[in-house]
Amino acid sequence: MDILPQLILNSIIAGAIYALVALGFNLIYGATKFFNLAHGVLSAVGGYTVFFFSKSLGLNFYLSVLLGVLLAGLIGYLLDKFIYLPLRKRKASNMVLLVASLGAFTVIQAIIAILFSSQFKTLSQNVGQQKIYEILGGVITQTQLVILVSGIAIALGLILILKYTLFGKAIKAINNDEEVAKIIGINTNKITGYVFFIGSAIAGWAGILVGLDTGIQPTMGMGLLLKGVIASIIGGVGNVYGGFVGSFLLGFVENFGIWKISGEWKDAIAFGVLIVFLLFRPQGIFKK
Amino acid sequence: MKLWLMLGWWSRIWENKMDEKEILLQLKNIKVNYGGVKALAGVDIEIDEGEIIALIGPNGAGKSTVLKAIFGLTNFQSGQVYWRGKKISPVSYQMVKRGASFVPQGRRVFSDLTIKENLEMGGFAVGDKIIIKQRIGSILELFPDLKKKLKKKARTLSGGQQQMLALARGLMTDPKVLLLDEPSLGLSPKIVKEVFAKIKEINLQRKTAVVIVEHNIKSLFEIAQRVYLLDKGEIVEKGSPQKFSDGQIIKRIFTGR
Repeated sequence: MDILPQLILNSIIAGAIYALVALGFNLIYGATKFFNLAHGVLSAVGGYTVFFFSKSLGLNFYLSVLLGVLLAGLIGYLLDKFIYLPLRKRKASNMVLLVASLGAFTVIQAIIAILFSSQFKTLSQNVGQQKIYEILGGVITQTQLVILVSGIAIALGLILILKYTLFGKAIKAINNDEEVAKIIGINTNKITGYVFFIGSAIAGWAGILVGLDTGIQPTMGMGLLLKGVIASIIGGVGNVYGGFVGSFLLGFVENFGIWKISGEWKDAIAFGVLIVFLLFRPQGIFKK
Repeated sequence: MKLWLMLGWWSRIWENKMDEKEILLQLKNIKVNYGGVKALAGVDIEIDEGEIIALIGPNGAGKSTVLKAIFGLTNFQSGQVYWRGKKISPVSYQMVKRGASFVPQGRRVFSDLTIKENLEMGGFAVGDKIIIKQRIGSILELFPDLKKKLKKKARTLSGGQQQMLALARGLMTDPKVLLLDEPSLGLSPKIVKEVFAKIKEINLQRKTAVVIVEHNIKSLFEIAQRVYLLDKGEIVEKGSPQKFSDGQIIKRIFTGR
């Protein structure tokens, strides 16, 4: 039973990583109602931007992190402005938007691989010298603590924004009835642009933290995206709160699921949970 | 001498311009095609401050298209829209900022948002949270039934209450002109009476011009000051409600006899 506290901590940390991906994904889905597959690659954009500025150019680490978050946000914003918005104006179906986002994902991932090679890299400044904290019988690194705290903080922040600000309520209004939102004077294109920026910036932040925790590679986005999407479906797609809870549920199911068996089963367990929810509770735990 | 003559000429032109009353909203020769079908075939409409204008006609006459063209919800292939004498290209959120407000047909409130949130969204273009709060307060004086249910989700309201909420939301920007698309659609006769009484009250209290597209001609004529009758995308008759009171013109257009 000594392993139990560590298992719980591992589940929470995994949940927090998935939550960081799911939060941005759900925010964007909530405003646009389509699965933005390019969301995943923006985590790689964040990670590689930090790598470029801090390791290749020797820039201050924290400034590099800021640039990583902003660049991920900017690329998300530009994807909306130049690809998704023109398609939405032409009344393109969600399938078309999905394929376009897959195209954007592939292009950006390829550019990253060309610029930085496909080799695994680490963002950690002092490998092996990270602070370690003991919590309730388990151990957690400094990076993992930041993942946990930032995941909770961002989730709280988004929930408060959606509940108490005009901007947040406008996002809900657009989700409810975009045409009427336009009619009453909401500049829906502008609001959606901001949503893409914020959601993508969060994905960039997730990529940076994963890079610090385990490392970066050009293909890191798809794995993170899939887990974020599964967490969103478990919690209720488009529901920021639901995606947050679904992420931790997924983290626990995965880590406890492989307690007695090989860790290679982790993804199989995750997708098994996805299939169960799609069959029996497709609207998720918290119906929108 | 010539200089004095020119000055006199310019001052007469200037006086004439000052005497010309600026029409609030004008449509001139608006043409709208939907994939080869003429929805509007050159429509001229004037709406002045404080007026209640009725747009009537059979199904497919183009009545709703007129409202959508004013609000930039549908593109028009030719013609012009003027706001206070100035040529404009309507875009919906810009029309809201100018002082127009559109209440679409079908009681389209934000069902997942509370009544208070629906009203806040109606005031989104205003931007200032304090002004929005003040406006909600004053608008709820006109809609006391909504006051009691501010924290309830809009989907819990009855059809009539949702229509009132849609109207109240439309007033949040303190518009100069309110465009209403079939406000009585799907409502019982008793509720229709209440809705039209409310529209009249809004017009009298706030001096808001109202343009109403309606099939319920009897209720509409009790409050309208001018009527435009449309058929096949054209204005076929216009005038006061009294001109149409014997029903002959309307019967001819609606039944073709």
